[in-house]
Amino acid sequence: MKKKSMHYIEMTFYYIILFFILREWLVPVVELTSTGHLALLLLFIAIAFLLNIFEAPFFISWIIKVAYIAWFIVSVYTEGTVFSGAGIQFLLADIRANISLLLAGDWENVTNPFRSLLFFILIWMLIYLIHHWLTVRKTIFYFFALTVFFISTLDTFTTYDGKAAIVKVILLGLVMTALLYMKRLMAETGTTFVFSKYMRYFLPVIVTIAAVGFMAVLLPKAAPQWPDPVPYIKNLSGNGGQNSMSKVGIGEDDSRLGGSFEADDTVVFTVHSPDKQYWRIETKDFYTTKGWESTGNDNDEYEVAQNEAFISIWPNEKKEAVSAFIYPKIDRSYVLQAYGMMSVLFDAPDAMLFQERATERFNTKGADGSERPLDQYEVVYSTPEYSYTQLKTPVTDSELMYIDERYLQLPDELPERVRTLAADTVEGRKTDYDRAKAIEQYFKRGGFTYETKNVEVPVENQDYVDQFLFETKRGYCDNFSTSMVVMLRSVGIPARWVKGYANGTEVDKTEKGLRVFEIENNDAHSWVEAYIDGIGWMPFEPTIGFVNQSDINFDMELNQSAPQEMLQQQEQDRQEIEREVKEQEEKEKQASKKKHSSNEGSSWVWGIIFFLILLVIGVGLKTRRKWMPKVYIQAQRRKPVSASTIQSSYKVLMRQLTFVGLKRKPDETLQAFAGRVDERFGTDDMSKVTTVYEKAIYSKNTNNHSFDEIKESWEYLINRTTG
Amino acid sequence: MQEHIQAVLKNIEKVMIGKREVAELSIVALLTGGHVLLEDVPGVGKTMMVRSLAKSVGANFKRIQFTPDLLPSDVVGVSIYNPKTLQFEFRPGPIVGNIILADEINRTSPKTQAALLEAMEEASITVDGETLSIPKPFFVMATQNPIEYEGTYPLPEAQLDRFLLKIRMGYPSVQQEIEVLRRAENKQPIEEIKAVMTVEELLALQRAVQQVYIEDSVKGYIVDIARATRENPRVYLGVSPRASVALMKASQAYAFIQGRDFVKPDDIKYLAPFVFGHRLILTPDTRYEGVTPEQIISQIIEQTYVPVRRFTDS
Repeated sequence: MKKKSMHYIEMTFYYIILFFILREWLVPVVELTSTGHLALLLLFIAIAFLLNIFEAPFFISWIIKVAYIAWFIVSVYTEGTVFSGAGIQFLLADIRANISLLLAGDWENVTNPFRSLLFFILIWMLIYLIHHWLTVRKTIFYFFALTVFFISTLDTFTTYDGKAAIVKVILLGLVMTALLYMKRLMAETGTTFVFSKYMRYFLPVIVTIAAVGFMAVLLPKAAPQWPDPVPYIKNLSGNGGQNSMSKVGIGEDDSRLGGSFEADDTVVFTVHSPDKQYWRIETKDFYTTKGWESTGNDNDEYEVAQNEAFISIWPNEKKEAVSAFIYPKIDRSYVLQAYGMMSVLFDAPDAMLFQERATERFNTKGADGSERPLDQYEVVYSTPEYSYTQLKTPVTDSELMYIDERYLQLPDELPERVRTLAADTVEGRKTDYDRAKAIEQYFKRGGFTYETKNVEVPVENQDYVDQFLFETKRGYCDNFSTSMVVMLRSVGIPARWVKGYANGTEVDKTEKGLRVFEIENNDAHSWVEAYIDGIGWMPFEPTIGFVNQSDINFDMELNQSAPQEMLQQQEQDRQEIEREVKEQEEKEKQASKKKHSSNEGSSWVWGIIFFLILLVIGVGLKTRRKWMPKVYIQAQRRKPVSASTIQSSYKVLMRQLTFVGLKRKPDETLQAFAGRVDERFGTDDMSKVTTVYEKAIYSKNTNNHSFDEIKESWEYLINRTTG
Repeated sequence: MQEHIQAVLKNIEKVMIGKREVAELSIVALLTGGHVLLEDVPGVGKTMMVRSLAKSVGANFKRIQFTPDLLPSDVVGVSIYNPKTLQFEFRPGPIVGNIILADEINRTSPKTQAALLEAMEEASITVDGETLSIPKPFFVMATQNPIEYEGTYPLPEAQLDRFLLKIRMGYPSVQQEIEVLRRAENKQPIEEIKAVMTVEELLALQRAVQQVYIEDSVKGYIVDIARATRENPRVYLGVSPRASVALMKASQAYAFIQGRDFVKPDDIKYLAPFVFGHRLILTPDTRYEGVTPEQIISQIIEQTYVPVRRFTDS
């Protein structure tokens, strides 16, 4: 009796230590995935450990754990009471839905309850492994090493600060290792437990570990030997711990661009429009080396009448005016501008339309000057059309129009190589349009990649454009558009940076034949407008994978005097444009549902968790010859005895034997093999078992053989295979 | 019925030292109704083996010493004119018996050999147009001396097929030979052997052997081995389906001796060299290399998969 209680005390002690080590797993995961409910998760571990300590029967422990998980999921994710029919229904429906998601490979959309379930399963497996390591192997080294690896990985790759955790884990782990080593030694030498004797070994261990830990904390740490394993980390440290992950969408502050962003498929607008087009919100003109600001005062705005809401892009050759109807799904006080917009119409007597001078942004305000989002409004516009002839004709000085100097602003610190690159790119181009086009094309051909994840943020003295053009060459719309504006300005073409939304997803058609677009936060976009002398502002799209072609009237054939080569050029350009538009449509078709980016930070953690699950499974497989026999024996005891039991049992035995290098050769008879096995193990059990099995397969009557007579031999052999 | 066999084996062991394997194989042939060709040098106990077996069964034992001048009629018998009855009377030759020792059959002329082999095959003899069946059990144990070639008539392969098994006696080990000498000091133990089985019991055993179950997958194993001998490039002529049947029957008998009512692949494996060995004709090249048919069969068995589950048609 005393021995038994002693055993419980010992195990409890071990499990308390293990509990604290395991706790260090949960804390960062919960913190990083904002899962919450740390206490409930810890309670699960505590329960599981208690069940292990008191060696609760298999089925009881399963029932308790499954019930706990079910209770957790139902009570956390639904309002419902724990084991009501609705709760169970919710669980089953969720599992079913997610399994089909998993089967479809749609891992990203797995729901949170199911993630929790998977997480619980992972914890459960870990607990099982810990139990195995503790009771069978009597060493937790794998677990210890795994924990250290886990925490240091998280510390390196995420915002989680594992400093305290790693110290705790190392100390606890060392204590645990020492304790188990002593336990193994005692088992090997057959020493019985005597408290005073035990303490004589245990105390020095504790003292040593404490001393080592103390020293380790005090010792100076070398700076990271691995400066930036992933740009992402740099990005984190560059921001001084501030998480630079931004959600996609339209924000106000563009003064520091860069960094990854999270996808957000919230629908912001539904647009009924005759054309697929970009929707402008505002422009910015001042490049700060890190991002964009506006030189003007935000408050410098004036009221415009609904029917004269012009923007600085006007149609050259008037096309027929058309209307688009915009239905904001989320309150937004700015107005989406179509190119060639002439008026904004809305039916809200209390709302007034203001335009900011500097940015051309339209805001709607109430009488008291506060934001007054509209429920719907109509945008009347006539898409600008540009004459190819005009675009291709160099302007004379007399035709130069006045353009504000601010559209040529560049920071003094702008590295020279940006200017050189821009100059090289436009070399030999005769008109502004050709130059702008050359720069636009440079991004499509210059070896750039479109990427929303792990996009770098420029550090202290780094220029955002320079970094993108020469160092990273990966980024998203902001990188491309900003770079193009800067390049345009450096070759003397006035340019500005435009924020707005890309086309959106076409979902339907209205009865009147308008196309219905859903514009998500994911469609937030930025692009370029360049001022073409003699023509005016013209949009350009440098970002890879996006196409927004201006309507160009290929009017040159009308001009008889145009040189032959220019006509050819025109034809080429026309084909080029058609090709791009086609490619884009193809792409959209293929990936109509593809998201801008994914949930960056937590996908890291989920990735690590997934890796750990794989690792656990891997360890399980690797050590299966250690634990599977026990499972077999358990399973065997449950099974009714029949001829097929003998056959399946024998098969299991054969498979287990292969683990210890005993494999029947194809030409070897069972009895010969059995002889070999028996020789190896120094028994005659295999021959006994084989004789019965042979009867089962070779003799006339297969059913009158009882498994019982060989049960002991079989179990003995199975156990021998674990050794 | 097992005890009869064990008793016979015990009897033989009293006489023969360390020859249990040969004794078992002989009983296999006896139970199957087949015949045995013992191939070995003189003096290793071939005759003793047959005699002790015959005595144990309590059967009629006859011995024919084959010499070059032996005539077929010396084997099968002859019709003699009886002046009293004025008729030819048939005097059966030594072949008409239960257990026959045919000593050194390769020393006699092919004509005489053919007479013997025909009698073995048909279990009957035909003289002057009259056919006389030989009473059962009929068991011929022929011996031949493999080292004497001068003046011998090696049995043609087709005729070797008449023998169920070809067995080699082999020399005893040191220990066994000392034991042989020790026994030779005293009275011949063969004289002390008593019949432990009647002829009727033997016939009953022969019927019982036919009931031994042989699973289809095991039959398949026999066929696999047989086919492999036909496909082996070093074999000039592989074994016939009759040989496969012989192996099956022998394996049934062997399983029976082991006290089983079903055949295992182990039985096949063990018996195949004895049953197939003398039925294979190797290519001249192979023979020239000194490779024996038994070696080829061992190779074939090594390359044949042993069936370890029941045969299913599907």
